[in-house]
Formats: sequence, C-alpha cells, structure tokens
Amino acid sequence: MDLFPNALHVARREYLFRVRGRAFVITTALLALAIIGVTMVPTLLGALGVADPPTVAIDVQADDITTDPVLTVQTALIIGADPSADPGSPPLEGDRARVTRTDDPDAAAQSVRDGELDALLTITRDADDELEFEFLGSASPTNMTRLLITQASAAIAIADRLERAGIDPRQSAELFQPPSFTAVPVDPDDSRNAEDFGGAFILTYAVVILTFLAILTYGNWVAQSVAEEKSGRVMELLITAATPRQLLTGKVLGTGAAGLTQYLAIVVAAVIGLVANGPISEALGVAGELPFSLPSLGPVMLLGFAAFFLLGFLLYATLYAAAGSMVSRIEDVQQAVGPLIFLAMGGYLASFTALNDPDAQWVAVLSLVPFFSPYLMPARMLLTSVGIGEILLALVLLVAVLAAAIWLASRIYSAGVLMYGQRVGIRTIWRATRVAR
Amino acid sequence: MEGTPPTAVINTRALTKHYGSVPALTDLTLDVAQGEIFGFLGPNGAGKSTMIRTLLGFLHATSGSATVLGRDVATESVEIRRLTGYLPGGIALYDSLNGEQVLDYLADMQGRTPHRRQQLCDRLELPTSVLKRKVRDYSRGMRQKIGVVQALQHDPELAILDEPTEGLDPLMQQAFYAILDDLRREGRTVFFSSHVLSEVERLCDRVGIIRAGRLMAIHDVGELLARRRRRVTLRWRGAAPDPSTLPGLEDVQVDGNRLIGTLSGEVAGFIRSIASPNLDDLTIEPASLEEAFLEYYASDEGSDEPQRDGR
Repeated sequence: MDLFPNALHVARREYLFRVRGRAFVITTALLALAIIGVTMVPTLLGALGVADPPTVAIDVQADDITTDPVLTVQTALIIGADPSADPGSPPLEGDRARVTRTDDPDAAAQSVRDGELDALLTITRDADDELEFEFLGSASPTNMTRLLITQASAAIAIADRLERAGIDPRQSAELFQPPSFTAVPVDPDDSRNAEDFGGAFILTYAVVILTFLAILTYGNWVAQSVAEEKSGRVMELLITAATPRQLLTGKVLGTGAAGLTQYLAIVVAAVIGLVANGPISEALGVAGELPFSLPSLGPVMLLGFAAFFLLGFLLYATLYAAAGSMVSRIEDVQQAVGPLIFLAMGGYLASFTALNDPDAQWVAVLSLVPFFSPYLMPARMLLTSVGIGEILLALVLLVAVLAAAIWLASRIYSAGVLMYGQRVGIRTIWRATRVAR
Repeated sequence: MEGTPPTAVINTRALTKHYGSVPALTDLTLDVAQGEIFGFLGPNGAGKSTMIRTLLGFLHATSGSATVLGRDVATESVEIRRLTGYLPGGIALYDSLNGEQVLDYLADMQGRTPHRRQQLCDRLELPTSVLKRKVRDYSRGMRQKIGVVQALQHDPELAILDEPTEGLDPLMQQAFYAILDDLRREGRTVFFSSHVLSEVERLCDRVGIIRAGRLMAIHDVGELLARRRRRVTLRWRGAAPDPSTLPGLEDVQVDGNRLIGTLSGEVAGFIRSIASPNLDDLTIEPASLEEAFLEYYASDEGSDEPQRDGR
C-alpha cells in the first residue's frame, strides 16, 4: 500500500497532539526563556559587577628589577581576559585590571583574606639572585587570575635574567619579537583566518551538542508515544486501518516535527538573545558583548548542516520508534532505547575528540559513517575544508542507511506493536518480515 | 462441513496457536460463507480473541492455515485488514480527541468514505453533542459505540467484532442487533464473538462453539432451536390427564393438578393434545440455546476433559 497519505494523517495527529498539549507549550516557553537568560549571562554579570576585573597588589621586595611588574601583570590580565585589547595602551582604559604596588604586605594579605583584594603577589630575590614569586589568593589551579599572573611572572623573571646577562632591554625586546608566520590552507578557497576559527570552534560545539540533544530528547518522545499506544491498546485499531510502515513513518515525522518546532523556538530565542545582548549591555554601560565573532556561513554550509541534522535525526528517531514498539510497558522504554543512546553518545564523544584534530584520518572515515556523520561531518565542515564530493557521499550513505532503517524498523514495529507481554525476539521479527509492507 | 465452498469468506484449516507451550487454539477448522452472520461462542479464555487476532494477522499461527477474503493470513494480512472492519475487545481510543475526531481519523486511514456512519450513529443514539465531547469523558458504553461505528462506518465486506455488545446497555444491545439485521439484509458477512448465548441465538445464522481452544461444534441456529427441549408446566382444573396421552413430553412429574415436563421436537401436536376446557394455565419456558448447549456438552463432557483456560 502507498505510504502516503496515511503516514501524513498519522503525522498530523501526532503533531497536533503534541503541540497542543499543555506540557509542550509550557516547556517550550520555559526553555525559550531559559536560553534567553543564558545568552544574557555576560551582560547580567557585568551589570551585577560579578565580572569585575581582578584586583591585585604587588609587593616588590627585590627593588632592583628594571621591568615594571605592575605594568607586566596588568597587561597579562587584560590580554588574558580580552585578547583583542591593545597591549600598548593598557592601564587606563576603564581600569580593567586594577594592579597596584603595595609597601605594606601584611595589610594587603589581610585584604586578600577579607576578600577586598583578589590576590597578593610578593616578589623577592633569593640567594642565587633568582627572582621568587609568591602568590596569595585562590589556590585553584584553574583560577584565571593565578594562571595569568604565572605567565606574567615568567616574563618578569626572563627579563630579569637577560638583564643580568648583560642584554639591554631594547635588545631583549627584539629577542622576543614574534617571527613572521603565515599559514597557507591546502584549499585555496579556504579564506578563514584565525579569528574565524575561534567562532567556528564554538559553533562546532553548538552544532554537535544541539544534534545530540535533539536525538536524545525527541527520539525519546517517539519511543514513548509508540509504547503508549501499544500499552493503551489503541494500536489494535490503528494497525487495522493503516500499515505498520505508514504508522511508523507518520509517528516519526509527526513527533519529529513537534520536536523540531520546540527546537526552532529555542534556537530563535537564542539568536534573539545573542543579537539583543550587544545593545542591552551598551545601554547598561557594561561590557557584555560576546568574546568571539561567529564565522559567516555560506548557503552550502547551512544546507549541509540542515541536511545532516534532519537525516541524522530521522535515522535515530526511526530506530527509537522500533525500540519503543518492542516493550509492553512505558517503564521499559528506557531499557529498550539503551543501545541507541550508546550509539548516539559514540558520535557525540568522537566529535569532541575530533575537535582537536579535525584532519585526522579516522575523523575523515568516521565522518562518512551514517550513525556518526550527523555529528562529525558538520564539525569537519566548520573546522577544516571538506570536498563537496565527500559531503555528498556522506549524505548518500546516510539516506541509504535511513531507508534500510525504515525497512527494518517497520518490521520490528509490526512484530512488536501487537505482542503484549511477549518478548520480541529475532525470530518474531523475521517472521514479521514476511507480512509487513 | 467438508471442503471449502467457493464463497467462503473465512476459511481455516487445522489452525493451531500455542503461546509458548500453552495451547490457545487447537486444530480449528471452520468456514464462514459470504453473507453469513457467524457467531463464535465460548466462555472467557476459550480462545475467541486469539482466533480473531490470528485471522487479522496480529498473531502468527503455530501450525495450520487460514484465509480471509481469499487472502492468506500469514502473508497477506495487510490486505485483509484493509478490507475488514474490526472491533477489538476492550477497545481503547485516543483520550485527547473527541468522538468525531477519532472516527474521522480512522476513516481517513481506512481510505473509504464512511457513508454508513450517520446511519450507525442514529441507531446507536450518538448525537453530535456526544460526538463533540472528548473521549476521556466517555463511559464504557459510549466508547464501545464509537468502536462499533468505526468498524462498520466504511461498509467493509467483512466485519470481525470481538464481543461487540460488551458494555452496551440492553437498549443499545437491541440497537446493535438492528444494525446486524441491516447488514444481513445487505448481504454483508459478519463474524462476531460472544459469551452471551441469547444474542447469538437472536442474531446468527450459524454458531461455532469454542472451548479451551477447540471448536466443539458448529450449529445451524434454526436447526438447533427446532431440536431443543422446552420446559412445560401445565395446570388443570381437576386431575391432570395421563401423561402418555401427551405426545413429545418427557421427564414428566405429576403433582396433583400440576404437571411439569420437558418437550422436545414438534410443538403443534402437543398443543392440540392439551387443548381442553379444563386447562387452567400453561407455561412454556423460553428454552434458551444455553440449555441446548448444556445438553450438548453434557453428552461429551466426560470424554473430552477440557483445560478451563485457553491461555
């Protein structure tokens, strides 16, 4: 029998049932608000003063050093927080990092303990004439202020050693001049530069995480709703009026569309939040703009992302439906979808590893494999240059596996949906393959 | 009962279904002819629903074969379901839709105009006001009515109904009987299961009796009614006549002016023989199929020790 129009009848009911539900409306609204809230975090933190630049006191007991430690630490803190800041004009601009010299270390130490100061750096000279640095402040090794001050201390110590070795400051400045370094991309059309790359990195994270969440959340919806119909025995009526394949396809399309509706609402909210962030923080007079710029994406890229996302989602959702049809009770759904979660998680984790080495051979191979390509191919497209042939091959493979998955799933489905309390084994599924169409 | 009539709409041969090692249907051979109303009668757990679900391809027979509308249940069940109207036992509907939406939804998928719907709703007293209410507010009987309407609204060649009067009040049961009468007049084939003897008696051309997964007998209802025995109570003014003068009366007990007995076979001769001005009262109890069946079973109860539960 023809797949349509029955699959569309089913899809339409599924969609309306979901979208009109009170739970759907409330959840979507809350998630949209939450995501707007998240995008506003930098602005909010700025407005609340939480993101204030660190205050550091420096006690210089080795008073013969020629470099100005205050200036060095200040520069390190400003550049560390905002790489685009001009190190040439550091200290005055908005007083972004307040670094002061102190002559009363005990009082300063007390201020650190009282929380008035973020850190106290004490510079002394030891018996071997080497500089010693003591940092009083947050002991956390990942504390940003501590990391930046460690770097600044290294710079001060090196300058001091050069000074003692008889190299004058002008010469040492030349010594540390970065060399001319140009990266020539293999693909001559690849015009992305280092600044784009930061944005691309973040966008890759976003794409991978969003794909993973969509598969997990809305795949689960599909499995749940199949199990619900089965345990409520509405299935017996439906299966008489429509074929298993029509029901399965309709269910995946309808529930999937409802999920994507929610998704779209959240993504739109996120974009609104990001766009509105700049003007709002400006109006509040705080620094809240994003610390990176998103790479501009061509239509091919966007189409590619959409295709991988949709096809990947459909592939997983189809199998989720099959998994849902194998259990008799809603409580058992989680168990049945377990293997699928592992599969989805595999691609998800692989793409994070791939972020560090997007050109590796295994990434290239895995990005063609259907269950992983929805994550890895968009990641590669963002991070490196991928030939259009490879992208198309990945898409063709994905479509082929999707078709096979629908074939297999509708068989599992027809074997599964009506077997109450019976375990659905390989044999039952095989028998059902003779019947289902 | 030998051979397959060319017009058999349902045809099973030695159909057997085991759930694991538990037999639910054993060697079930049965034909239902075109235009027949066939009652499938048996106690709960006898295997009625298993039979119906096997016919619709929801279950796969362990052995034996079956065709419905000329199609093999093992390989062509999709086509069978498309041509059949089905009322599942213990019907479930979407709670979030109203009655009309459920019917529209199923009609859309059945792919045939639901041109019987209005007639069915009228018969079952399902006015628009009820159809516009959500299914979750329906009583058991209202759900069952929707179930009956959806099974028949698209006028299928064959209707398979699993305990169709379950949950209907007596008035609505009568309405359902009237619907089956309509179908009978129009030559539609109906296969329905029941554990209520009186409705089978009222509706069916033939009845198959199933017990513990085995088909015990197939009877022509008319024949069965003619053969069955009636309980008769007579009262005379004065003494009762000699029972031997009353043809067909058996197991007679005389109690003064009262006489109780069982009448089997032809009625007319017996009525003529009691026609007397002294006859004060006469009761012929509406002998039911139940008694006929009990009698039937009584004869072979010992030889065939049934498993009470078919599952």
